[in-house]
Amino acid sequence: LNRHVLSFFTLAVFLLLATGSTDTKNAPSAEPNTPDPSSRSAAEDVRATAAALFTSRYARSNLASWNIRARPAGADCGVLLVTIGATMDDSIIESLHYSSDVYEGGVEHFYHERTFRGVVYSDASGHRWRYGLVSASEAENASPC
Amino acid sequence: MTIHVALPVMVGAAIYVSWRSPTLLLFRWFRVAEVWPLIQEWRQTVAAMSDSLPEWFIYSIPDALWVYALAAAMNLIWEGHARRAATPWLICAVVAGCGGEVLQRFGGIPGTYDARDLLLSGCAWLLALVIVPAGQIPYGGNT
Repeated sequence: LNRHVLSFFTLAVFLLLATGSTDTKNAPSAEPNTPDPSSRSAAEDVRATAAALFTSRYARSNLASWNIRARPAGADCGVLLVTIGATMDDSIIESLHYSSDVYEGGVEHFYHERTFRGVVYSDASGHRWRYGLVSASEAENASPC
Repeated sequence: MTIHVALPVMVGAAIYVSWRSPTLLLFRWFRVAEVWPLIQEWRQTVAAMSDSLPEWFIYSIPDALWVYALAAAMNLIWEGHARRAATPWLICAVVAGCGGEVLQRFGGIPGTYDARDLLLSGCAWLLALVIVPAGQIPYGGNT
């Protein structure tokens, strides 16, 4: 009997572990016009990897001292949130976004290519800039997903 | 127990934590436990590796390791007892591991059916039956 109890307990623990692999974006209450859950999940994987590579690339560039880091953000993880450990101004952000210093075509090209819908830059002072399909309120509240 | 159960679970969990979608429930638990920043640091560190890892390694191996570990655990729990006593639990292990995939195939639950997941999980279950020491008495005897 003890072994049956132990077996049951073991099975329960494993099933609990398995629930961790449930994709929270698969909930039936998701917006009706959202893409297929499986393709969303794959796209989010691509974005998470892309953001990490972005961080790694900038850490090895001549802008490394700015401590530029990227993470997917937004409710759908579709926004590239770029945090910069220095105070920026409009012209520097614009240069960062469009110049090909680190990425060919700039961040503008990078975010389109990696299926992000927009970019939010946040500097050390907390000031934010947005590009692409990101509303002002979303930009202000964007946090890593 | 460590080699056949804990190790596969830990390896599978490490793959999930490192390279799977951040929208999984697992990551919500990490946020609740307030270890999400650490996990993010780790994911950023290993993200570049995912380019060189095959898709089956990231998406199928963790499930297969889970099935292997569960079947191995059942085998070890029933070690020295008749195989038939362990049989229902071993069947539970394969149903729990492969049943979800079969249900996905027929639209019973959300998710993407993948024959490779099913094949690897089935193989993992069989492997656990073959290599993990189990019931020494084939049928009958001490139950």
